[in-house]
Amino acid sequence: MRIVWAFLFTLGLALAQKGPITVGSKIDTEGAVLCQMVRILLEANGFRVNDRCSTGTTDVVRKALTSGEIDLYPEYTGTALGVFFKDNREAAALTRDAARGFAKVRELDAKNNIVWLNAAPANNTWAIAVPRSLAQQNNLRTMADFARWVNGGAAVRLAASQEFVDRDDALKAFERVYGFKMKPEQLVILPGGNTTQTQQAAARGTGGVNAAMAYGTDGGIAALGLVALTDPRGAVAVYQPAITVRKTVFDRFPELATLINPVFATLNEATLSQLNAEVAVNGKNPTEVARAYLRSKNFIR
Amino acid sequence: MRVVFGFRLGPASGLAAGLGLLALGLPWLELRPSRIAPGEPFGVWSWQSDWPWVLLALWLATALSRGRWQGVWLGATLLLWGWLVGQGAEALLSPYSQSARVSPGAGFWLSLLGLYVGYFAAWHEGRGWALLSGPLALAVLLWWGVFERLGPFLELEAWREQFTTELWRHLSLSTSAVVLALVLGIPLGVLAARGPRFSWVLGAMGFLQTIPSLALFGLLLPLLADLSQAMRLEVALALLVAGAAVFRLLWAVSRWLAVLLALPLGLLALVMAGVWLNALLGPDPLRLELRAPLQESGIRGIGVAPAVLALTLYALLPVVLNVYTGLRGVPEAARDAGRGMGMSPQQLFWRVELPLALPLVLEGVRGAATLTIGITTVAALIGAGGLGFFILRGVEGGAPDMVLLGAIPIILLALLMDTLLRWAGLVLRQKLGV
Amino acid sequence: MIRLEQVVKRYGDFEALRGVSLEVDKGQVVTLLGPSGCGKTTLLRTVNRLIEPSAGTVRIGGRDVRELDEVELRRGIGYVIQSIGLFPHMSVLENVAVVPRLLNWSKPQREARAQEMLAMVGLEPRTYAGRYPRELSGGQAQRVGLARALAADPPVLLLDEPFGAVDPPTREHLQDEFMRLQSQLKKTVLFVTHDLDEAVKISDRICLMNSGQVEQYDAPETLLRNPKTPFVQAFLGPSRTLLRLSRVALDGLMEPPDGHHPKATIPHTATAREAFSALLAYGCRSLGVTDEAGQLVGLVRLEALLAEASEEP
Repeated sequence: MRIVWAFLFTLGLALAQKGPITVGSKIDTEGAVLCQMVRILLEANGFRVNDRCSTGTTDVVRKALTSGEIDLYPEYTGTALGVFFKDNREAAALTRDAARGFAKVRELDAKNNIVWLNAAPANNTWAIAVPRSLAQQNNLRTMADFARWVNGGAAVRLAASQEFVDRDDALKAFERVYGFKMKPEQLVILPGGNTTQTQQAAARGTGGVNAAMAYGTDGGIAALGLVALTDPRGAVAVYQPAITVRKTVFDRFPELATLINPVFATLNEATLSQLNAEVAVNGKNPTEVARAYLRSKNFIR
Repeated sequence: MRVVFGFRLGPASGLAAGLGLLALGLPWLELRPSRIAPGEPFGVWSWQSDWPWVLLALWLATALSRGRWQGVWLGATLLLWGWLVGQGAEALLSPYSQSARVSPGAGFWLSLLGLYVGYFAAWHEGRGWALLSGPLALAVLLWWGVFERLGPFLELEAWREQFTTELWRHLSLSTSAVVLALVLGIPLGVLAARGPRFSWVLGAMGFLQTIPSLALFGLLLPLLADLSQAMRLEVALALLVAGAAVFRLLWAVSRWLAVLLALPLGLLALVMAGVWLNALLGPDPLRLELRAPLQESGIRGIGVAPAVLALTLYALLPVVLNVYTGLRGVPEAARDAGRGMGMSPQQLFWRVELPLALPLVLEGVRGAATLTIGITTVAALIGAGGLGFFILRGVEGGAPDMVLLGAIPIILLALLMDTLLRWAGLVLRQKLGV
Repeated sequence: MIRLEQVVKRYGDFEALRGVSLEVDKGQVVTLLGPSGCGKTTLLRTVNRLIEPSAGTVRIGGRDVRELDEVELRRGIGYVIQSIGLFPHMSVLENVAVVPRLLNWSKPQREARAQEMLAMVGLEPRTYAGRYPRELSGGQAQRVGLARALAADPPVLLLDEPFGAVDPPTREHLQDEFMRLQSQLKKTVLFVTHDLDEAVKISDRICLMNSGQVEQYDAPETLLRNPKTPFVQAFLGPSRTLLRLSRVALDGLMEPPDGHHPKATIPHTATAREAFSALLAYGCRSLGVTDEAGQLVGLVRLEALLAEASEEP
């Protein structure tokens, strides 16, 4: 009998509370930084925020959002177009178009009751990074140089994810646009999209790897003695980060947009790389890095 | 026991010293320019030229001594080893920037292992007092702060708040699972012990154990997701109440049908109880909303709900098996005498069978608790939090120090739980005269 | 007091009890005696309903035992088994106090009674009350078992080979203790054993069983003098006369002293068997009988003993 009373009491207590906002993110460094940024920003503006940053992998986080386990998290336009809506032909065609791709994503996800806030002007897309010494030796600065080097019969071994190798707008796009072809024995496939692992492999030279899949805003590239090759012709898909919110939450708190959009507008590639490096290389807590950044730009006191 | 230069050398002591001496030849620390860069190994001789010889002598002393003296020598070895580690970290890091890191290497771990074996030998041959030097030396080392410049410690400094939260989450998840496993498992064990007709209970528990944890999660997630989005809280509660009533009626008519009904309803009740118990115990708030789907009340296809369900199912086998074995181990004469004297079946159970089975039941709790603390690591994979978070982030971010930050507390927690419950079991056995 | 009417127990095709009828008077010790598998333990356990008969009725004090709730029934019957079954997790005191506790006696009442019982079976309460079963010897444990059975002062006692698990000297002590207690308490007792000597020593009547049936039910002297069936004769064995004589006191066989100084004497508390044994040992035809002070009070002759031993009608 006592158990019943205890249960009813707790039930009463719980019903008396108003739900706070739960923020989540993917488990990588950039996700953690963006998530903390949003959390600190919201708390400074009077919200009660439940911190579930670094919730899990892309699947887990997306499901957490749709099921309501979390209320918002940062996602990439390219991921939405290429993974969530990959069966939609229009979506597939727009992956390299920043503006139209983003508009499409907004439109398609609205049907899932998910609202996309404005995207940051950073393209965290694929790149290939090589050790600095190798780049200097072979004069590698752009993907065109890379193509030349590969075609010249170089002993290249690229560490990458399955997705990078399979997708039409990733490695295949590089190959198409810059005119080179990687042979299967030149590829080392690592599971998942973990670029720290690919970059560490290239830095150490594990298994003969001397090139690594990287993302444009990775913080560890310089610290590992690598350099990322640029993509002047815009071959691959665009990956801009934006906050995705559950529609029910957004309708209740439309000020989310007015608070978050200005902050995201300041996040370009250089800034994001810098913030990521603070966490990944210098080991600082994403919370501290985010807070320092928001203060420096006067978004919070 | 062999005699070396007139001293007696036990096998465990010999092993301990052997490990310690081997460790002296291996690298103790790895220096990295940043937490994700590859590291360069360094042995203790590279930052100290004289003191390692003293350490070598101390290891020999621990091998050749016994009992209380061995405890003393082990304490001294621990102290010197810790001090040398601290010295090493200082020396290696000083020319480098803030982002450089020093991580424990093979020699570090081997020394710890040697000390552990040494203390085991001392406790085995001497008495408890030999162990006293260990915590004392550790306390001194912590007060000196020798480990503070090692990588995992620095990670802890940076992530202190989140570490506390995740530790709390880990504990609340494990506790909820073990509590539920007991609530469910003890009656199941009693049922299984009733007779050979119920041996299928044990078989079912064993089967549960064989399902790989990730596979179990994979099966549960979509099921729970659909259910939690479709069903409302009040409907679920009503269903359970009605189900309990129907079960009672059905049990008298057809056992198999009753069990078939009990299974899905039981699992639903388990998930709900687990999520709410965890919310009460843990840092995340309890949210209940009537007239809304279950997912608004915390039961979702991702996160705590599937985690706690899977953890409870895994913890069931040790509990059920031990309750069963404990009850079967009650002397038949005691049962016969009890019945013959006029004890009702309930009185016989509560006053004779359960007290006599209690030591084994406690063993079962011990097994379930240590098992669960370990498996809870995986809960972080599906967004339920816990110390596995650091392991995942460490692997994801290529930072081994962060992986250690997650792994070491889990190991220590499991060891602590194991030791505490073992001790409790001993005390209980003494009191019960078994 | 206890009446068994045509009790039958079947296990599948096997009949453990084939229509047993028995009546035990109040205050009597009746022994169920027989070889292994004769059904004596089965019969015993029908009295406290640990076994339910397939047919027939068991009555205690005229009432059918099935009328009462079995748990309540058992609380009014003392039960002692060979393996004793003391509860290892309870102290000796708590073990003895089990049934009073089941009957909701208050704590002081229970403890006082338990200590009284321990004293009665010859175990000093101060020493033994706080001990645990694992600290007791076989004999001590069995005394505790007895004390436990007597604690709630039940009118009926059921004992299933209670002294079987101890060595012979201890067994004798326990038998003597039991007889002393019985003379004090006058319980109605059903006692199961396969040991003829034990049965002859302690019983008022012996029920000899074979294959689920009663072969003979008589007082020990009657049984030993007049075995009714070949089975009984074979069971009692060739020394039954001597056994019978162990129950005969010297008072009825004594003559007044005749002035001669006898070659040997025995105390007046001895049994006829002991007298016979002494006569054989000293090789004489008469023995002097002395009292506690050693004074000659009578004479017992070989002829008197032979007359007593004779089975001639």
